[in-house]
Amino acid sequence: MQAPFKLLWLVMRFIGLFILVFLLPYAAVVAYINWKALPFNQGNYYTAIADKLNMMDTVPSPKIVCIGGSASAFSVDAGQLRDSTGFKVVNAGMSAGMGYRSILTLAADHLKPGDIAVFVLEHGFYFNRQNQGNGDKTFYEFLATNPWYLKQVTLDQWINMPAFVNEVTYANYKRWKSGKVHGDKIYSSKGISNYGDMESHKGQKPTKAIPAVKQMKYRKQMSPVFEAYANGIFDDLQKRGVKVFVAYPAASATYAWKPTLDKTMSANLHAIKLGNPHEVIFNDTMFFDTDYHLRYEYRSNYNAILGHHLKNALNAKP
Amino acid sequence: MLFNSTAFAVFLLVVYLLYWSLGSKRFRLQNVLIVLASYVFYGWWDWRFLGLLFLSTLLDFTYGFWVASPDRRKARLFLWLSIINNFGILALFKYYNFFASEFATFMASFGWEVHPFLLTWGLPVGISFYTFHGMSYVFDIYNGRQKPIGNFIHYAAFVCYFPLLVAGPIERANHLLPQFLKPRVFDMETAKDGLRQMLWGFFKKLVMADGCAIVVDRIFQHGDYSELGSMNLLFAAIFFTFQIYGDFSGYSDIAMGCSKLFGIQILRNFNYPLFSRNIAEFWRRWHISLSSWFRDYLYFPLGGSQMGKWIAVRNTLLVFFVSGFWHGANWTFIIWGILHGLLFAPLIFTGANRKFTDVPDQGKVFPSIGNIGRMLLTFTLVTLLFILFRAESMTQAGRFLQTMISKPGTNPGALLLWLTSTPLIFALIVLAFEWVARAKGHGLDIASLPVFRRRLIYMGILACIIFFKQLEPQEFIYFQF
Repeated sequence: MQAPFKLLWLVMRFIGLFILVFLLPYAAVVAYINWKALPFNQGNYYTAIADKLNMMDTVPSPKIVCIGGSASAFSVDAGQLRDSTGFKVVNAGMSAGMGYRSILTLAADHLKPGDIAVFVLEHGFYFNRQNQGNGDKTFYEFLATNPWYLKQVTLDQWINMPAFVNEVTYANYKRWKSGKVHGDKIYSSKGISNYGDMESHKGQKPTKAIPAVKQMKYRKQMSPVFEAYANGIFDDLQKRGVKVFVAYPAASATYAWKPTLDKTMSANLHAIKLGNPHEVIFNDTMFFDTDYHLRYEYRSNYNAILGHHLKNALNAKP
Repeated sequence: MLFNSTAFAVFLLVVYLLYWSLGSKRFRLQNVLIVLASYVFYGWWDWRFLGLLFLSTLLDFTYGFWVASPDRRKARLFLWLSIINNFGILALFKYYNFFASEFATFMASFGWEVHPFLLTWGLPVGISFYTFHGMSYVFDIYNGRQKPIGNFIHYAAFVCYFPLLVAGPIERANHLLPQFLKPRVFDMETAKDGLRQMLWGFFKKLVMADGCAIVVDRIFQHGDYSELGSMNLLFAAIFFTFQIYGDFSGYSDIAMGCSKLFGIQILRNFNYPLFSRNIAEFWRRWHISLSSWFRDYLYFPLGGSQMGKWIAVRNTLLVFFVSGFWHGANWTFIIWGILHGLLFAPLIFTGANRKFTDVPDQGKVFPSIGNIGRMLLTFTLVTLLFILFRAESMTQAGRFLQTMISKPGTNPGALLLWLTSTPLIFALIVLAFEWVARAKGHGLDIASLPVFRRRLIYMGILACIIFFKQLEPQEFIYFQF
């Protein structure tokens, strides 16, 4: 064998050795720990996400599906939207931390022809950063709790997975050893209604705005990476016979992003916009743990506006 | 195309296979392949600037013949035309917006409002590097160190050779060009060393530099430094020194290692600068190819140190001023360069500029107390000046430095967090490896170790890259220059 090609052979042999000696035993240990921790993760926020995806499969079409992060999970009232539009509604709000790619990919796989997808934008998507909300630890937490969704993992996410394996596995190891069930009461899967609405936070008191959130600097333009990815999914959904709308998330009056809200932020999305962002700004006291999670008793204000726009859009002639 | 991308891995494999399939005897065809591959490599980033790369190559290739003229007046005339051409390209693409904006600001101070036309096409990646390649060719011909090359492909391969096209090292015609004029021989040990050096470069870039970058970006972009306090700002400055070192020397290691796979040796760009014992030594070890370029083509022609110490100081300050300006059209770079010059100048007077030319504490396991002090002092000075390098404006640098000095106070919890942070731990690992290898070519020059230990180290580094690399590939800092 010629020397330059022998070098390639040596490299391949080393990589093979690396996989055999290091990666395979490592993967086995990781799989074992996460599998053992599964029972202790039942009922947490991540299983709630799986429940919502399951609802998308079981509720017959045509139906309205509200997709997004926690801004959708905590602000959408599916029952109210059903009353105002006459359609069955599923609140498939997940967690922005999972990243927009994960949210969009997961949701798109469960939407059926005839469905009406309402994508509730997340505040994080306005950052003009490539990695914003993409491949975050939350998504891998979700996978560790729901390993059957591994089949929906994209190539990018496979590549990024090792960066989170240690952290997620260590968290699950602690749960397994302590035998403690993971999950905040507010974010528990037991807290979701038949529509997928998060209802376990009834009676939550408003909290002061988080200073770190207030300091965030939003760009005037939505992240172009997000836009490109979202448009790809939206185009595909529309080809499959799914109507796609975009809704703005509720935000508190003092929230730092308010001054930068303008039409350009979502102007390039290939979907019909429902209303405008200025309509869904509410008093600080109407929110609880963040400046965009509406308290249970104030959701109706937001949903009245959303339902009105949705009804008009659905009744509008094409 | 970024070195730290999947596309580059595939590209490198394909080019490597094609290159050696042609065989050493067909080195002219190998050069054609290098030129084509380099244009693909560059065009991957932005194909619109391929024309500029070609034009710049063609101009210096042509000037080479004219500058070789035995008529010295004619040669000098064409040398100046070449300089004007090259600096014209740089001035237009890199400095025009800076001068136009500064002119508008200057006029505004007299109450005249000027709205200059600004270019919006962006800065072509690596323009300063390939322009300097071409200039070194013309200068070397003028000085009789190089003969003009008759074959455009050989010359183009020298200018656009992809491992060093976008961020150096800045090669010299009389060093690199002769290698393209003869068959390259594949040497297994050199190629293996190249792979080791690439692995080390990737480790420094993906684990150390990119890890530091996240912390540094957050702190430098923070709107209100007074909320952060001195300690956080100080650590951000230290982390930036590690970031820029890991980023740029990592790039240089990858470039050198990659080039070794093709049987081509390129200039060394870093020689463990963080172990420097004074500023003069730092500049002999940091971005060596740029420092030596300015030394040979600017400092020496101005008289160097042969005309007395005052002239030497003047020349040094001029070199540092130009070097700062080379980095970018911003006052931060210019002031950064000048301040380095001012730190360098006293060493010329005392003769200490040539004091430390050896390997620090050679043969010893640990540095001496005196050298630790000298290294720490140099590191501190370099770190403080790097604040200017990182800041986007003089105002930002001023605010950063002012807050760092005026808001003292130590939070033990926060200090512990900084000291145990992953980027710092990896920076210390890099320093430890490089201290051991300080007399060798790169930090992972471990060919003399037993096979088992060597493989264990490779696997450890590979595992760190897999588990600790940042999610989104970060561009190399020096691409912008």
